Amino acid sequence: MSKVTFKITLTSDPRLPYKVLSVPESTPFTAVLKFAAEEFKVPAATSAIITNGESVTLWNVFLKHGSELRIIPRDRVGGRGVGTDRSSSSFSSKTQ
Amino acid sequence: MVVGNIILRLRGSLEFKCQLDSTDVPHVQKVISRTFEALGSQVKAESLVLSLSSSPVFLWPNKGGHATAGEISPNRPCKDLQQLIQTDDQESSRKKSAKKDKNNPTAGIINLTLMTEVTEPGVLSAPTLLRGSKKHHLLQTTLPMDCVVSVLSSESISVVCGTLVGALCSQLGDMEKVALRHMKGTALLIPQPFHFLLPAPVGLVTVVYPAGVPDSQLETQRKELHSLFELPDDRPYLRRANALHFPDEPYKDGYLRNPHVHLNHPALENGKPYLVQGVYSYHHYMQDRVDDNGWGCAYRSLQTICSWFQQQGYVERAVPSHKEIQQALVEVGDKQGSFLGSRQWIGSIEVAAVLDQLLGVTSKIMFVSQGSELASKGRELANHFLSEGTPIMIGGGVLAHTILGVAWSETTGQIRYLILDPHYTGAEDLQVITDKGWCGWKGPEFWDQNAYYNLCLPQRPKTI
Repeated sequence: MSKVTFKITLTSDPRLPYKVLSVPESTPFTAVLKFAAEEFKVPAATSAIITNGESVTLWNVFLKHGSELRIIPRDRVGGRGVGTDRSSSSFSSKTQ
Repeated sequence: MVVGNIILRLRGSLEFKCQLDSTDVPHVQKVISRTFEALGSQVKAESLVLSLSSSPVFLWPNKGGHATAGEISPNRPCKDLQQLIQTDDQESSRKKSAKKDKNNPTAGIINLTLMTEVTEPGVLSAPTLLRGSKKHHLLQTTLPMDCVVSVLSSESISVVCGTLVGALCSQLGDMEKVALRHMKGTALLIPQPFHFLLPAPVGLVTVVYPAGVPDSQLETQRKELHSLFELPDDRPYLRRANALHFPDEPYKDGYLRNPHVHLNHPALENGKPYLVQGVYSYHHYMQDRVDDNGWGCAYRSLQTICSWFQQQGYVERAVPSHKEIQQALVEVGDKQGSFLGSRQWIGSIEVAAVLDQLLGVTSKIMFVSQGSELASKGRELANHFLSEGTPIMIGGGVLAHTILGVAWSETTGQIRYLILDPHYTGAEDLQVITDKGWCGWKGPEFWDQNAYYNLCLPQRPKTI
């Protein structure tokens, strides 16, 4: 079974730590996100993967742009004075 | 529009009626051509009358431009016609108190209606009736004539009348070509004129498209025209949505278009503004009877972006509702079913996913780990507005906004952002929106300096 290898960087950490991961080609991309998030100890639900500026949800985008991925924290936005406090932590939790 | 030019727009109906003795194609085509020829003669006849809209004036273009009102003689410059037009007394209050309006709307357009004199003094004659008993088809429809000519305001009325009649004949010729090209058996598709303002030196052109044939099936025709007008072949200029919107016609959907054009742009030392290209609608809280105050700002920014793609001719679908947006996210697997009908917040990643799913548009995501870093993104943002020119959705610090432009100085590093705020809950009042900064220029301190931000930069599909 062939494997796909890629380098994934945690961009929310100023030190830009990265890991090189290898997964079976048949792995659904959502599982890849989960795996990578666990490796970096960040919540998968509020993360996203991008490469060359494009958001990656499927292998086809990944294959188009090569093997350097970045994991970023999602922004979740709604309005003033509702839900989360505006702390300076890197990951805001989902509200409502 | 060159200063000193007036646009005359002539609209009206011409009845297209002909009798087909058989349905074989060459016969049908011949009859249709003959009918168009007859209409051409009708248009050049003395019985053609033009009515100047909102005025008591009638003109006979084929009688040398003779008119009803005494003070209008054929040798007078056509700008004199403007003085006879009765403008609406109830000017909307926003026109009176609006800031320096660069797009001076109604001043340069004269509207005319096409009419035909039906009775004329003549020799008394008895009507003749002919009766035949052969089967035939009657082909009957109304042609929606809509001609636009741009002339110098000093041009005389008689010459302008000649130009208008010429435009009518030319349009009939275009309509005949389209009708014959798209005929299906005995079904005639109504040819409809659309006006486009193409980049210099081409200017104002009118293209006739067959009604009922969607843009997606007219690509060959557009390719021919792109080639004829030397237009780039990677972005739409001649889709129906690209048609010129005349300033004197209000948009029927009630949304404001391009409120940013009413603002004064910041003057930065050695800097200039880089703005969104084309037209978008302003979508914000509380519109469409949806109370999304406090949760819908990213949805509204997404709607503004969708409106841009629709009005630049990339998509024909309407701007999606909150429900449709949520449905799309469930469909791509980004959200569970429980998301539907909820007031859950979304962000740039979701915006990019919906643009892809519903519009087939890809986006670039820019991640900025701290708001303070946005001050150094001047070049990147400027390049985006130069090459793509699409509105940007930015999410972070619990708020979503739409960036419509950036003013940036390469030498001093000064930067300003043109922001369209989806958190506005009021009515479509241009005055309030511009005065209170709901659409306005903001400095780098506008962003939460410590929060991280994601920007969704939609990319134009390469298509005509």
